[in-house]
Amino acid sequence: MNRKVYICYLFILAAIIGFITAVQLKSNITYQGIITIPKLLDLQNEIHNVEVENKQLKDSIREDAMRLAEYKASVENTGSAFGIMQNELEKAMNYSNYNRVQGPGIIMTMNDSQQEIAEGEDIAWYLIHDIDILEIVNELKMAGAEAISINGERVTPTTSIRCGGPTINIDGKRHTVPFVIKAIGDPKTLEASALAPDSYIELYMEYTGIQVEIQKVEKLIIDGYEGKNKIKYQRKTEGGGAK
Amino acid sequence: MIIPIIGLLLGIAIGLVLPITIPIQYSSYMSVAILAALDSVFGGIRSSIEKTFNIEIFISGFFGNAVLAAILTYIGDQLGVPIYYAAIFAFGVRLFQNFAIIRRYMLIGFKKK
Repeated sequence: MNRKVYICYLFILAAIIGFITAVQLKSNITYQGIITIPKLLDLQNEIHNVEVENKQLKDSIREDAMRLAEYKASVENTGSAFGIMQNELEKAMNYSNYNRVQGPGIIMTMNDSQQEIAEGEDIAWYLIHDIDILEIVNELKMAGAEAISINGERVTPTTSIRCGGPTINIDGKRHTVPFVIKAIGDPKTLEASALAPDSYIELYMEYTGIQVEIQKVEKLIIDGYEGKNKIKYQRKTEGGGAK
Repeated sequence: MIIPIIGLLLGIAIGLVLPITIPIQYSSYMSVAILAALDSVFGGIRSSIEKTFNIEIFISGFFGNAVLAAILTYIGDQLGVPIYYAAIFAFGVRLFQNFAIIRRYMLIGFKKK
């Protein structure tokens, strides 16, 4: 083998090394490190989460598309989407207690006790407190009350019921006895739950003689919530559709 | 000595100019191939100092090592075991060993002068 061939080979080899090194450098590959099994599982998990999110987003797209189709159909048929939108608004208002509603239900009238206070007893036992109202409202909700008002004050998910000395503050407004609690629902169930043994009234109010009068009504009207919309901070979560 | 350096520069220039990039999944093959080539180069320098240099052995080593390393990497990828670490380890160790021997020869040569 003569020297020229030898140098030729060296030249070609050097060129190959230079070439692959340059290509590798240019590809700008960052070192990924050793992929351990926990890391692998982590990545798998991440992929899975992203896929789930993707699916949710697709579902929400489909839902919205259906909604849009509905709107379009309505526009074609009646000339406007007003009807559907009004229906939706109605539903939302009903759900958020803004509407004046009617239905069968009960009216519960409560007043402080007229009994004489015995020796060594506390007068507070014979009065209606905020906690009593809270417990009774809670019981009514459990019995399936769909709309509740206290002295005309609609009970919403954000309604506060708090002691205000001789009065009770409902959503910051003072109310005194007698308390009239109206609840729409199945009248029999509501009454039964209020009067059942071990109910709050039976346990805490009968002994001291707090006056409770329950009236079943076929057609009861409850006014809508009149306060301002309190939702100021909460937002729908990002990426999560309605469930 | 000047010819291989010119070849190297030419190769780098071609690599930079041509619009070729390596997909990330092949990057380990490429890095192992580079290492194999470098190992061959150091082996060649060492053998030329020892006056046992043989161009056939050099070239077959150059390509054979690179191909074997790539095959090992491929098998490792299929099995889920990073076998190419073995190639990196072997070539790396031999590279340093060869460099140490070359260094020794050179230092001895300088002292003799």
